[in-house]
Amino acid sequence: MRFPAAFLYDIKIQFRHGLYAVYMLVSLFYIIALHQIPEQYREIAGIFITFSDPGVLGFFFIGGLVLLEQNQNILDNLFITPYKVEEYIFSKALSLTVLSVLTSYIIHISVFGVSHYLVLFLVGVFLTSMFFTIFGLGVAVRCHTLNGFFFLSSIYSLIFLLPLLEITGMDHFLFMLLPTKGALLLISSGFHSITTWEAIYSVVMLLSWGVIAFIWARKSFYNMIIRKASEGKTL
Amino acid sequence: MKSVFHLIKGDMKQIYRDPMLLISLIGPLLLILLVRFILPFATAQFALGAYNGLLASFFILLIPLLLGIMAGFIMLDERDDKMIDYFAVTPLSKQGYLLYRLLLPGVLTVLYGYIYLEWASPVALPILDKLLVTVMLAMEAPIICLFLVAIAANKIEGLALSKGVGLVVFVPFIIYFVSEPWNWAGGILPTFWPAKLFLIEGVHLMNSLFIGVLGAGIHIFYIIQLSKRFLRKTD
Repeated sequence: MRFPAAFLYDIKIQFRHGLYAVYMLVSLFYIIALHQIPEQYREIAGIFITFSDPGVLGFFFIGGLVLLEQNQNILDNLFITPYKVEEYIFSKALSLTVLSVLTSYIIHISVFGVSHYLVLFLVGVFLTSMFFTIFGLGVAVRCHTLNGFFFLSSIYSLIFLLPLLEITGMDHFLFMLLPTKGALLLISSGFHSITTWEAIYSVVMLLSWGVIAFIWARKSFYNMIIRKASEGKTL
Repeated sequence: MKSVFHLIKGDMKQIYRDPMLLISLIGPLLLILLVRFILPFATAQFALGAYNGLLASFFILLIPLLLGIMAGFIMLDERDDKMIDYFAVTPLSKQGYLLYRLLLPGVLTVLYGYIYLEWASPVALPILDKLLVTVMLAMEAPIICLFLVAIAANKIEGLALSKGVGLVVFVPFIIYFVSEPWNWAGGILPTFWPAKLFLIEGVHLMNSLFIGVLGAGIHIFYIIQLSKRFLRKTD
């Protein structure tokens, strides 16, 4: 029962620190803004907003969560307990993903109504958020300040944002190798149908990148946090 | 005076260590270049010339937002690290510390605001309006910074708030799209007033003075209230 308890605690912390309140406001803003946009651009704006805000919100907040726990010296002692690093990473990613999926769903149905493709859309948001949050955690353990985190994370994530250029009409076949391409495809399935192959490609792509991010984040966590803590250094 | 010198020296070291501070110097410059060279291209492409005043007021508000949030993040980190308690017992004092942290984004905003208004802005403002806009903008970065640290208890709440506070740069859209007497309701937000100067019809000296003086008063009110709250909170 260790994992469910940790997961629920993470959600509670995020709720208490105002993440849910702020995202109610932000979602309301997006809903109003999307209604104002001319119909022919609304779909593309919807895809872009879903990806760049609810989709990657975990990436934005994980830095603050990890840095705060470093400050409070929680991380030095946490792993003396039976709690595993893998559980820690999953609990953080999954809890932030709950907020991602929830806000994407609310924004989508409020602007575009309910459609039968929403399951694939939500799978897209789920996998996108899991990947970016875990990836963000790997970046966060390398940083000591919020500004440092945002600087480093924008450098690290630049390459993953390249496929967004297709909104301006620029495309490149190498973009197919990035998880963002899959994310955009799955998210766009909430607006128009995509082929089965596109769906399979996207899910496989996001899952593979998710596994890579997880392995990297776990290694980073051991190197930057656990080893230092066991050597008695302050984080 | 000597204590301030130590802080500046510390910040110089910090710029070297934490490149985000360097970005805060470069970020607004990039924004100005974007408005100067890429925005005219985009407005011509999509026939947005009619919205020049709106765009000009929107982009200039991003300067204090960016600088204010960065200063806020520095203070959130320093408070979580208990650094502010240290500063409080030095000759600098907590008030001196606050003044220094707020002055820097304010001064930088004046500098960048000046370059923006003289060189990049898609609409030219009369000299009096330029002056009034600059005075208000200079107070906006400190307000945004103070808002984060006066309301948030720690960095994660600060992150959440930064997400919400970013929405104030969309106030020009309220002025533009909501009809005349009603849009004045936006006046409770500081960003309403400089944007209003960009968006009023025709040039009337008395109108500008009215908006500028009332707006500056509202900015001062925010600074005083939020500073008090911050000082109370860090006691």
